[in-house]
Amino acid sequence: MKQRLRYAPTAVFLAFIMVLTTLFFVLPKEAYSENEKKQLATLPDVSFDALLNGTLTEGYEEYLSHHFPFRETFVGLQSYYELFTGRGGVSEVYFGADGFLIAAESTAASEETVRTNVKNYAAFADAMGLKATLLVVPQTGYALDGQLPSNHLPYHDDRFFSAAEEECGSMTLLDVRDALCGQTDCYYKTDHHLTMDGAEVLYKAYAAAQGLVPFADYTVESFDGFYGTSYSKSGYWASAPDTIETFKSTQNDNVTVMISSNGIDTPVRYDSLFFEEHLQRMDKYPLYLNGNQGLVTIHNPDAPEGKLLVVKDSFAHSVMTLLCQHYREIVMVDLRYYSDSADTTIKELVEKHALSEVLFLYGADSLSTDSSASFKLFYDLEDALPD
Amino acid sequence: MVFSGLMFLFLYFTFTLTLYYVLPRGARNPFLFIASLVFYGYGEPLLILLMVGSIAVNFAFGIALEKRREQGRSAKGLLALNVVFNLVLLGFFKYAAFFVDTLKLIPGLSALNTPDIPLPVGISFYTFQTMSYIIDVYRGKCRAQRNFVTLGTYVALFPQLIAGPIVRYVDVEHQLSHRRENWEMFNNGVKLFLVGLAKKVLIANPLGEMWSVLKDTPDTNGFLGSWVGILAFTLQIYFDFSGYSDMARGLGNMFGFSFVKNFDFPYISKSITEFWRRWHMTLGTWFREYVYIPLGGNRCKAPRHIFNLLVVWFLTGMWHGASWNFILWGVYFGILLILEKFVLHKALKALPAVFSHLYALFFIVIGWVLFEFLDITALWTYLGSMFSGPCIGETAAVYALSYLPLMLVAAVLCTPLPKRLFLRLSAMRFGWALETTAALLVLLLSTAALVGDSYNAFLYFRF
Repeated sequence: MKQRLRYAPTAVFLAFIMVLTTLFFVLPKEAYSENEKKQLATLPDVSFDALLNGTLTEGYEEYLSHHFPFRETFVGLQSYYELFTGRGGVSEVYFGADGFLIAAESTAASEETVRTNVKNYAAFADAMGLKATLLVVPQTGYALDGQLPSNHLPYHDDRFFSAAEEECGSMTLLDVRDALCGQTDCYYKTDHHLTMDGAEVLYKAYAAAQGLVPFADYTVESFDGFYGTSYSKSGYWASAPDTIETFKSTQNDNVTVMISSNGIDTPVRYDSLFFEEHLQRMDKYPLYLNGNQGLVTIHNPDAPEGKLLVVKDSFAHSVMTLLCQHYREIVMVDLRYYSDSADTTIKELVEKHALSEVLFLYGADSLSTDSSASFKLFYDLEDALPD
Repeated sequence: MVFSGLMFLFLYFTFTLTLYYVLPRGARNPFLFIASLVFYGYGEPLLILLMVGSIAVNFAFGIALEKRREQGRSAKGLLALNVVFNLVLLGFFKYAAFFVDTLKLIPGLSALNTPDIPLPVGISFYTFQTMSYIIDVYRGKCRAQRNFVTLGTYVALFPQLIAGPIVRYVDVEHQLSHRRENWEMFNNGVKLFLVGLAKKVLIANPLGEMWSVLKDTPDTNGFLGSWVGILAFTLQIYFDFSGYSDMARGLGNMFGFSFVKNFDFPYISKSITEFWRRWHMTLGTWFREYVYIPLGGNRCKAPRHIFNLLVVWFLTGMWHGASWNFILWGVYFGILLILEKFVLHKALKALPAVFSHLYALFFIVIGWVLFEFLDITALWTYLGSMFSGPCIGETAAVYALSYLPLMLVAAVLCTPLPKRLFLRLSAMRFGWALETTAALLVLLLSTAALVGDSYNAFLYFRF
C-alpha cells in the first residue's frame, strides 16, 4: 500500500489531463460567451492551405481555449490567485473596497488623443455654427479614490480635463469632477458607467448651464442582478451584483424612439426609453435606449419646443432618459457605430433636423483612447478640419 | 507546439502518451518519431521536410564515415563535409539576414536586400545534436546508427526538440533501442515535469509581464525601477529556460529516457566560471567537447589558451542569436572568464562568500542587459538608466510592489534550500500526500493561468 501511494502524483496527473481532455470532447459547446460579449470560436475549416500557413492550427487552439472545460472557473481561479499573491495592483480591474471592481485606466489612454478629439468637436461646432457644450465623465477610479486598493496605477483625468480646457475653444466645458468625487452612489460597483444618481448629477449640471429647470418628480424602479463590464473583465466571480434603476417621469409618457444601428439601417420605432428585455441578461446597462447604436432620435411631444444634437458614448444613455423631458427632439449620434457609408453625413443630419445646439458627452476613457471616430464629423466638411 | 500550452498538455500529450503505451515495444520508436514530427510541424508543416532531410543526410554520413574508418581510410574529409553541411544549414536559416545586414554596413553594399527567412524552431538545438552524433561516430565513441527511424527518433524526440537540453547521441544511444519504461521513472518524470511547468507558467510568465512593461520605459523607471526590471528578467529567464529543461527531462522520463541535467542552481555561483558550469550545462559541454578541446583547450601556452577561450565565447554568444548584442554578450563573458582564470582566481577565493556572490550576480545581471536588448542604442539607454536618474517612477513602483512577493519567492527558489526541504518532507510518512497536493495545485493553477491569458511565448524561441 505504502509503495503504491508513492505513485499518487502520477495518478493525479494522469487523471487530471485525461479527465479534462475527455470532458473537452464530450461537454456541449456554448456558442456565445455572455461575460465576454462575443461569439465563441467554431471549428476551423480544414484545407490544405490553412494547414500549410498555420491558420488551421491557430483555429484549433482558439477553439480549444474558448471551449475548455470549466473555462470561466479557471479564469476566476487565476484572478483570485493573482489577487491573493499581491498582484492586484497591476490587474486590469482593481479589487476595491466595498465591493467596487474598478477598471484600471486604459494603457492606450493619452492626453494627445483628448486634444485631437476636443479640437475636432470644437471645429465641427464652429463650422456648423452650433452652440456647443462638452461634458467629460471622470473614471470610477479617479472619482472613488477611497475605494481603490492602495497600490494601483495612476488615473489622469485631471490632465485630460486640462487638455480639454485648452482645446475647447468656444465650447462650454462642464466640470463635474467635484460633484462626482467620493460619491459612491453615483458609480456602479461592477460596471464602469454612472448609476441613475450619477446620471442625475450630469443632467443637473447640464440643465444649470443651459438655464433649464430640472424635473425631480420620478417613479423609481429598481432591478437586481446587474453584472457589468468590470465584473466580466475581472474574473472576480464571487462579487455581488449591482442594482440598476429607471427614473420614470410622466413628462416622458408619449416619447417615441427611432433607432438605426449604424445610420444605414432603416430606423425602427419604439415607444419607450427603456428596453426591458436586457433585464434578462447579466449586463443590464442597455436597458437605457437599447445600448450602443449609431443613430437614435428621441421625440417627446410633451416637451417644450427645442432640439439637441448629442454626440456621445454610452455614458449618455442614462442621462438622455432625463434630458428628453426638455427637448422635443434629440438626435443622438455614436460616432463609433455611425457608418462611414451612411447616406446622411453628420453635417446633413444637423441641416435636416435644423439643429442649433450640440452636447458632446463622453467618458474620460473613450475620449482619451479613440481618436479615429471624431474625424467622422468632417465627412462632407473637410474644410473645417483643424490643423 | 510548446509544452506550456493547452494544446500540448490536454490534447497532444494525452493522445501521444496513451498510444505510446498501448503500442507494442517494437512500434514505439516509429510512433515517437512520427509523433515528434507532428509536434515539430504543428503550425509550420513544411519544417518537417527540413528536419527529415537533415536526418537523412546525417544518417547517410554516419554510415559512410564508419565504413571508411573500418576500411582504415581517413574519414576527415567526410567529417569536414558534414560539418560544413550542418553549419550551412544553420547559417542559412539563422544567420543569413544577420550576415547581409552586417555586409550592408560596408559602404557601397548598402543596397543589398536582407533575405526574409523565418527561423525554423529548434534548429540550433537539433543541428548541434546531429553534429555531436557525426563527430562521435568519427571519433569511434559510438557506432553509426543503421536504423533510420532510431536516428530520427533521437534527433526529433519532441521533449528535447525545441529548447534542449542538448542531448548527445552517446548519452542516449543505449536508451534509444533498449530502454525499459517503469513506474518509478514515470513518477519521477511527472514530478519533474510539474516542477518545470510551475517554473514556466507560475513564475517566469508573470515576471515576463512585468519586464515587458519596464523594459520599454527606462526613461521613467528611475534607477531602482530599472534594477527591479532587469532582476525580474534575470529570474524570468532562469525559470523559463530551466523550467523548460525540467519539463523536457520529465517528459523524457515518462517515455523511458533519462536526459542529463541542464541547470544546477546557477545563481548561487561565486564566480562567472562557476556560473557557466551551472547554467545551460549541456551547451557548455558541447562547446567544450567539440570546439574548445579540439582547439587545444588549456593545454597550450597562455596566448593560445586565451585565443581558444575567446573563440568559444564568441561562438557561444553567436549561437544564442543572430544579432551583435549576443556576440557582445558572449565576448563579455569570455573576457570575464579569462580575467578570472589569469588574474582574479586567487582574489576571488580569498574574498568572503557574500562579496564573491555579489560580484558574480552583478556581472550576470549586467550580462542579461546585453542579452535582452537586440538594439544596441536601447541597450545603452537601459544600462544608463540603471545608474542615473531619480529613484523610482510611479508606474515602476506600482509594478515593483505588485511583483515583490513573487520575486522574493522566486529568489528563494534559486537556492537549493527549498528543494532540500521538500525532499526531506516528502521522505516522511505522509510525504506522498504533500507531493500529491503540490501536484494538484500546480496543475490547477497552471491550467488557470493558461486558460486565463494568451501570453505564452517562449523566450528561447529564437534559438
